[in-house]
Amino acid sequence: MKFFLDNDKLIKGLSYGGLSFFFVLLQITLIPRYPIFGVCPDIVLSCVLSIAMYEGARFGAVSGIVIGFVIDAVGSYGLSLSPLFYMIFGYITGLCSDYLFKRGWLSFSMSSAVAYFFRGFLTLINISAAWKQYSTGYVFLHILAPEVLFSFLFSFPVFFFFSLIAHRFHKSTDVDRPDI
Amino acid sequence: MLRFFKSKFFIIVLIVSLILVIVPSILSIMGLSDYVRNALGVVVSPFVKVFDAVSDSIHGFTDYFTEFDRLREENEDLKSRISKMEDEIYNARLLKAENEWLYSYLGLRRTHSDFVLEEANVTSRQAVNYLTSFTLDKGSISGIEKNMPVITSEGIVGYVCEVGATWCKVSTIIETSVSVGAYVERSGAIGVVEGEFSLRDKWRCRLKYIDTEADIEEGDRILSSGLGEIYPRGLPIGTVEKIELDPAARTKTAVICPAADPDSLDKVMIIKDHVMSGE
Repeated sequence: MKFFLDNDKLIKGLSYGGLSFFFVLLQITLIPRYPIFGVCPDIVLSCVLSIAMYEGARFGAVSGIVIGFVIDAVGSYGLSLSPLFYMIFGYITGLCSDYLFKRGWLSFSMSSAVAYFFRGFLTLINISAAWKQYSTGYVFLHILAPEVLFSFLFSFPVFFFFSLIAHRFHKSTDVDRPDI
Repeated sequence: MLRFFKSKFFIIVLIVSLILVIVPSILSIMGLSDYVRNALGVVVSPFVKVFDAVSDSIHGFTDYFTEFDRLREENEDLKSRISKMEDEIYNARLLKAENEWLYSYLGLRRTHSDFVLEEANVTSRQAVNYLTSFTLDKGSISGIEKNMPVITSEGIVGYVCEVGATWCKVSTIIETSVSVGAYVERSGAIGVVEGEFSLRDKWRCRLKYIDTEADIEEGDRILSSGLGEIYPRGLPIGTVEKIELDPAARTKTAVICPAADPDSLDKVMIIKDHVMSGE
């Protein structure tokens, strides 16, 4: 029995990893090629949130670190704060789904709304510091608002794919509450 | 709630993530971050290539739809331009042909400045094996009258024998009923060019009544003498092909090859007015 459980966890981990890797590749290849209203939605953060939603705080935090590190390493010009940021939001989302919310679309939409809001806030600070020639209003209207909005909207298909895996491995998506 | 952020697990992952943020940042400042990026790049690049290929395919596919309207408009525009250019080329060819044709008459106009010429197209020919008359597309409306000479740049073709409102018929110089006063350009020997039934099918005519002592050779050019009511003086009739003696009349005759080529007769000039010799 233990063998099957370990095997199951391995397959589950590989499935999450594979799907996350798929979305990371999408994030660095396809999405930059077809920006929506000039911005690229962040679908990788929703991978972390989805994993955290179904697998809890620990899994969410670890996946946040790994995915954040990978996306920074392969997708950006320099290594930045993504591992820390993704880890924190993976952990918090995991905690919320473990103790506060029932796992599902509604709780995911709330988590992702908050996460993308903070992500937008961090982006705003970075952009404002880097591009002083643009006003904050301009940056908000032309970069942040569409980025947050479309990232939020695109997070649902991502969550859908992760939920397929999650339902495959959980009899009920509302699994037992862990004890941290 | 704070206990979750004081848990051993959270502290460990926080430290790890801080390390992953700080260490690469320090490496980046030192210019050594490429090692990490290169290592991950090696692993990821094959997958990126696959996604790029897919992305290219999607890009091409979406181009089909996004570019379709533009390409269709461009195609229609190009078609209309091609059509317009074809028209222009066709007109240019016509103008070129007309220009060449008119240019060929320029020498004639220089030597015969008194000529009033009317351009005409051959519309039909006599439906027999040999050509003796044909119809032109100009008639009395254009001021064409009977007995007006018809020429090409090479020489005399014939004269107008019948006139309608928008057409006229031309009897060629090889018709048996036609006589033209002529002389040899080189020597000035005179004679009369007439059509001959036996020569008609070869597009030939005969120069008659040449004095036996007259200086005439094969190859000599024969011009109209201007005697008579139809042809002005100096128009080329043809060249001497063969000289024969006429024992009955004690004169010489010559077979003449008319200057105007019957095969290329599609445009001619009608001399509407000219100063006759002696006027």
